[in-house]
Amino acid sequence: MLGGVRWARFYRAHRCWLSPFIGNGELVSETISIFCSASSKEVEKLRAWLIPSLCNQKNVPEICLYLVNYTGMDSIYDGPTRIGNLRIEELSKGVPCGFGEAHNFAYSKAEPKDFFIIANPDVYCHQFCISELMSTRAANPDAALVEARQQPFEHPKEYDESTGYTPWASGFFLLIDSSFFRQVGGFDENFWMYCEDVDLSWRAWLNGFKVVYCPRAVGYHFTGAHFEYKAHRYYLENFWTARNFIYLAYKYWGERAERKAIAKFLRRSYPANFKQEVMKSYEQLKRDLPGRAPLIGGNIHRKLSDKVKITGFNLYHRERFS
Amino acid sequence: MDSKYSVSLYRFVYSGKLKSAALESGEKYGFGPIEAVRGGDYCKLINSIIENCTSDYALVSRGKIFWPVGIGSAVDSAIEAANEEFGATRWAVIGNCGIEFISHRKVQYLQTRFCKIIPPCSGKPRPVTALDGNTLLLNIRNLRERSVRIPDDLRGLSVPGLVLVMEGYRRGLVSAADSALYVFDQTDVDEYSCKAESSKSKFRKYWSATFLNKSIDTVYGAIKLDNSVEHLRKNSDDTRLDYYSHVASVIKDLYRSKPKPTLNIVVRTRLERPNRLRRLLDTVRMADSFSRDMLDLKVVLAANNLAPSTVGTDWISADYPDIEFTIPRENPSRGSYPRVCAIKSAVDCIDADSFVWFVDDDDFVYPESLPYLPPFLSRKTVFVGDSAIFDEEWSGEDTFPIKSRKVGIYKSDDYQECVLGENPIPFCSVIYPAAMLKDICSRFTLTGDYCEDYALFLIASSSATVINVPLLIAGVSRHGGTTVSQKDRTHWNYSYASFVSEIVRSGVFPSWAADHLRKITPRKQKSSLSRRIKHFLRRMSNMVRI
Repeated sequence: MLGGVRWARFYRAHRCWLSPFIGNGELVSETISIFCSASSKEVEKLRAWLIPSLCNQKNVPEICLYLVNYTGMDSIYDGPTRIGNLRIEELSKGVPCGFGEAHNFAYSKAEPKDFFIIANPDVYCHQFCISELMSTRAANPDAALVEARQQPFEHPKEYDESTGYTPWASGFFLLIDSSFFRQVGGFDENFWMYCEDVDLSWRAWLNGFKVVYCPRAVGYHFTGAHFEYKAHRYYLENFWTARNFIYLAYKYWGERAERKAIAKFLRRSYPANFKQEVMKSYEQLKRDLPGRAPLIGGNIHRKLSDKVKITGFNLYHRERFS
Repeated sequence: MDSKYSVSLYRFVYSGKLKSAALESGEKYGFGPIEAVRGGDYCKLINSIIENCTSDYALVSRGKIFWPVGIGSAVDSAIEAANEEFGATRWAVIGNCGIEFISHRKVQYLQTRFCKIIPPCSGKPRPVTALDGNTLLLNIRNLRERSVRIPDDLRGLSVPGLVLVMEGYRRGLVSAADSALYVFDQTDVDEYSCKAESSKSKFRKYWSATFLNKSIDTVYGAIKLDNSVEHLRKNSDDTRLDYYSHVASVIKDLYRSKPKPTLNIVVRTRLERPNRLRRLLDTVRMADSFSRDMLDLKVVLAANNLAPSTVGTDWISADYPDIEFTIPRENPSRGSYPRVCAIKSAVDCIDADSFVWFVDDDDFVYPESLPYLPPFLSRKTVFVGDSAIFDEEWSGEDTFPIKSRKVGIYKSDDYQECVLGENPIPFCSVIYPAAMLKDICSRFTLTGDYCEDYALFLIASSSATVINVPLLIAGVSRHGGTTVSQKDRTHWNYSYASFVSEIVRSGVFPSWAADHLRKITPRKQKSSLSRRIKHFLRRMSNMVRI
């Protein structure tokens, strides 16, 4: 038998696979892993909103919130590591990393068995949000991604009201199937930030999985675009969605689509230095890409043209309410 | 002048004639000794004042400015108001015209030869992101201690008001506009040349090296800059500031160190629909946890039932233990007008020193906006913010709408239209000082329903300064058949007539304003045929809806 201290050490080292078996050898519900990429800038909202709302979740087993420090420097969270049903752990790769890279890193550390959730730090989830996501997943065994509904500004996206199928899911609060994530190799780290959720959704459809929207799982997310963003400056979102719009076009439809995407971007009313900087970043990405060919080619997505589609500059969907 | 501190007076003039007039005015109108400087550069003068002035404060005016007799006491009240609002060690410059923090709107407390509209009272010093340099009250000690000065290579008349404010914020000092510094400006200021000064390459160089923004709001209009976007690169080490976020964080830090104002969110609710209330309380909880160090939030649940409620309220404090609730006793004897009755019973139980924000139970608040409110809350002013309108579908006992779509904004800017007989803003867009409401409730009978929010606003705004800021503070839910506009409006019309009658009889609305409005408002007489067509179409659309 292992003594108390030795057991604690053993448990810390092996908790990933041990967690479902704590107790008298009986299988208890698996801990829900939630990954959240954050820095000290976002900690205020994380403490005010995400953490208390996770503590208030109903009908769920233990939750472990993995805070991935994407700056790779210092520590970002010094609050309590256990609040009721919620455990909080901070992870750091030691180097700055993008959104996808941060979540891939968290996945490799936590190794969630069944599914995990990714969450923005400034989300406040409704008390049944996680349980609703879990029920929707249980009802759709082939769902790779189950997306919560953003409130009060719902994404103006299309979805089938009877099945919940949607072309792409936003990463603001998203349940991801572990086996799917493993199978497709996680997030594409080339995106750095923005649009990687669109890419993951399209890869889900192309690999025979479903992407499901769950309107009953509600998360309050007062997004920058509707509230905080001002016309006095450019934000990371302006820059990276522009750069990744071109990358998405290239990745899925090849060089012809890339040319069209670049032309579309250059027609936008951004100033010359902004356009130049975006193109410089994209050219750097192209130089770093393995090979010159698009990563996903062929005609496979022709069958899925209602899901995998670009309908204009950064529009991966039609206006739902138009 | 108060003996607690000393103030020096400076005039920057362009001609000898103006210089001698300025010097004469010191004796003739009792301003005291004035140092008048002719020619040279305004920026240089300001820097030399900061370096060499032996007083605690300096009042500097440029051009053909007419100070009011008794400017000394006006300066005293500006200093005292700024010290009270921001703290003596936390402000840099006070002016009389600037770009307001958050709203980015020009606030002007002077008259010029081009604009003679009588300015309103500011209520209290209003934080700004840029000032006009016509008259500047410099806090010499703070500017010197924090090494705030205008960079040597910058020149121009419009530059000091802009750059001094920016440099102040960079070093943690707030600047503001205050109506106490009202002057009559007869200078022939060419706004285009002032804007051109700020667009010069030296100014652009200064801006690009310090801030990452692509445009700046000045009192002469917005200046666009082709600024570098290095901060957006992967792993960027660009340390430049977003000027406007930086201003917001300096102001928030300042208000964090001040006593917190109490904001009572008064929720008029029929307790029979607790599911709707939950969404509001969730957003209040978010707001509370996000703004706890700046505002003391309390919730008053005022029942607007006709009959006593059959639903208990225990679940509320059990599910939201972190929110402080007050539930006034229901008073069915006053119940023929439950909406006004709910307001009165809520106002009765609220502390007079606090502020009141009325929100209906199916609306919600915007948590992120609350930390920005304290600079705008004052006992003498009524605050009006923006509200988003949502078309929503609720089903059964759901605690959130199953469909929700933002369809528009009630703009705080439209508040003036209330004097034209329309209510352009919803109840949840307005925050009142509680003392003002207590006074209104004691002086007015407020008989009626449905237009009670309009009546309150009309009475309050006719005697107090309205601060309207395009800050999204609430979401208004519209859910189909329950809105008054789709029902029989007879009761609504009787209420309207009753409220307005009381306001007219009390004479709170000045006659000159009515006369002026009548003169400038185009007549809206429509032909009887177009009215009949409109009426017919409205009836048709109602029939289709049924």
